[in-house]
Amino acid sequence: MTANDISLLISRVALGNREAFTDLYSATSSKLFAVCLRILNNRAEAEDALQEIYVKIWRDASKYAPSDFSPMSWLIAIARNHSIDKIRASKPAAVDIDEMTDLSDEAADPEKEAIASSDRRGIDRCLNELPDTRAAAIRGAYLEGYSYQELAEQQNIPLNTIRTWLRRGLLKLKECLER
Amino acid sequence: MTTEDDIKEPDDILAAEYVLGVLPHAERVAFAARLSSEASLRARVQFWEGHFAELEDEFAPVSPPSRVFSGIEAEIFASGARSSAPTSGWWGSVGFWRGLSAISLVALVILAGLYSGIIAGPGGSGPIVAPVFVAELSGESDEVELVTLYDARSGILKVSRVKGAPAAGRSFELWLIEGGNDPVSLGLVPTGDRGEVTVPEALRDKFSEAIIAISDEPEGGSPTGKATGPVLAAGKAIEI
Repeated sequence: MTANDISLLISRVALGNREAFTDLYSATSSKLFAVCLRILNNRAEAEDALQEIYVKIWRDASKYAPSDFSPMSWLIAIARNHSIDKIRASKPAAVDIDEMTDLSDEAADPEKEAIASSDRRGIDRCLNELPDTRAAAIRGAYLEGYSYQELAEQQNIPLNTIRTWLRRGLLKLKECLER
Repeated sequence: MTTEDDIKEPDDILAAEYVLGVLPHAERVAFAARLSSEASLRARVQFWEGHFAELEDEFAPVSPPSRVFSGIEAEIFASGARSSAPTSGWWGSVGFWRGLSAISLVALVILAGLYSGIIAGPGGSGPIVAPVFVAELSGESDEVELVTLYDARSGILKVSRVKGAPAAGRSFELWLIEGGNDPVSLGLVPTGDRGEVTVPEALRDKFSEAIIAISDEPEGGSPTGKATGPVLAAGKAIEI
């Protein structure tokens, strides 16, 4: 099924078309279930979350606006947001995290930038331009739903500097994506 | 003086943090509350969601068990009468409730106008208006909605409940989130549809640009002084 087909299905779901909803579920539920499983790390919770997510998709389909990005990005965002809301609400951060301080540039890695400027596209190419640990942290946060606390432990970085550390990476990522 | 660029950059990174999901819960809720009223912020979120979704291949598909779809169908199509449009039936219609809460907001704005009054200053030096703040609190789940009206002169926060009530043995607690600070308790949401909360002296001048949120707490309020339960609804205090 192409991105266009999915876009069309979402538009029909917005009109209350039950058949389109069933088709949309068949086409996308295994992907969204994978998202829930990765982030919630618990099968029963992932099943509950998936149910809630599709109820939300049914109700919010009219808010979908086709864009340059794939319609999957809209569906995945709903699934990720719902799953992350669940884990963040159940495990509030125990300790204060640093506020943004100085985001000034760090020395670039010319070798990495040279490799990265080859033929890779988009997010992969841009993550590749970052120092490895920072790229891994951003991937981990996106794919596994890690919190700042978890990232600090994994990267062995004090909790009071992890936010500035990650934000530097996000700033570089943004610059690259906008190039 | 701050230029647009100064403001745009941190919001851009904040949007990335929101999309990644790394923000602590209170900040996450505060950010989500801003999204409903700030189109440029929504565009930044869409930028990051779109780009990060290029990583979707790394989520290897897993078929969910069929009971999930049965559950969804049961929830969406429960009453046979509502099998077509998601918005059919005013009772189940989110739009209806949104409209209702908009009406409440308008009503409160009118009330605020009457209530705060325009008091002629001594010697007729023009009107003095006490700042009044309205906040419309809503959440992701659409299950809880409140409207609050705060009069800085009296320190009274009026709370009007549009939707949702705490479960037995639970209370809704009100929080004030100022900038990136930790939420500070404003007290419990009064029982009943309407009520008043007397705002603690120290918080009375903190409403400008603040976020007001409610969380689900044990009966009588959070035992720790910090929100312990999920934040159910939040909204920005708007000066009127």
